[in-house]
Amino acid sequence: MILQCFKFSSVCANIALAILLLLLTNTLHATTTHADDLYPFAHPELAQRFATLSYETRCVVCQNQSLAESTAPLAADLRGKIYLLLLQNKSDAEIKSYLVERYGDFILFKPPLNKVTFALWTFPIMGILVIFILLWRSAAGEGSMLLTS
Amino acid sequence: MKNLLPVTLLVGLLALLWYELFYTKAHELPSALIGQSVPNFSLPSLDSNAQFSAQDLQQNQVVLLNFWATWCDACAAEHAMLMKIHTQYHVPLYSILYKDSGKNARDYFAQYGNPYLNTGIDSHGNTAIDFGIYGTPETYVISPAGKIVYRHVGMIDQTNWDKVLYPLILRYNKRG
Repeated sequence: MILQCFKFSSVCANIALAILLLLLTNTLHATTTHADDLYPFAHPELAQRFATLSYETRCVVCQNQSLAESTAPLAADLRGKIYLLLLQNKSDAEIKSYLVERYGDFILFKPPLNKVTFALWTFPIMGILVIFILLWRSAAGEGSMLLTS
Repeated sequence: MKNLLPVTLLVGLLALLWYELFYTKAHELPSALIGQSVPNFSLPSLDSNAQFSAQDLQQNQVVLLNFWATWCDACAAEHAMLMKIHTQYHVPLYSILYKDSGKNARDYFAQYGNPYLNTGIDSHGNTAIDFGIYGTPETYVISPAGKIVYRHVGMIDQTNWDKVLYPLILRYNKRG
């Protein structure tokens, strides 16, 4: 009985191992073919730039995802556009400018500092400054009260 | 009195947060092309052997450019209103067929009618990207000077036509 149970668990372990290996091989195959087939690059540096640009730009359809992560058809089109522009030897700045001209600063996860985004960028610093001033004034007020008393 | 400033700041911030959460429409982004000329494009025309290009949209009156596809359900729902704009309001309506085939569009028009004066076939969606579209249907209002003055995202219905689009068209037509 114990032997049968042992044999059974051994078979189970083998099957589990086989399934695990199969899944692992499939996953590896899927990731490599995805990168190889869809956006093949002659130089790894270009592939790296493509990956960085795709992660730094927003999918305008599903707005909390980057172009790299999104499965939306428009995101695929824009990834294709970035790919083509990289093959045309465009710089990262030129590619970003191409996207911003069409979709606005919103397409960049890190919008540039300009008159529209000025409040967005300066708000945290201004907020901290205001808090410090308030705390300083309140501390100064308490200090002068202690002195007078 | 001393605590008035922080309380005012807090209330202001909460009001801003409330407004952003419940009143702004995150999917209705203003087009980056507002105030700019129509991007240059040249596409095979559905209606003639000539190309349909940006120059065709520069007329002495306001024209509408609608991006659509036969596979788009919202475009099908919008179609009756576009027919009405064409037959009752007589606003020149052009279209760009997005990622679709000319045959599909011809079959569609044969069945439901063609509200457009001309249609360009953008099979790969490149012109759509040049316009910064992020879905169909989308409609651009182009001024007599050939500038993009408004982008309408989603279906045009009688309500948004009466409230937004038609008054805007009349205003720009009056300005000339």
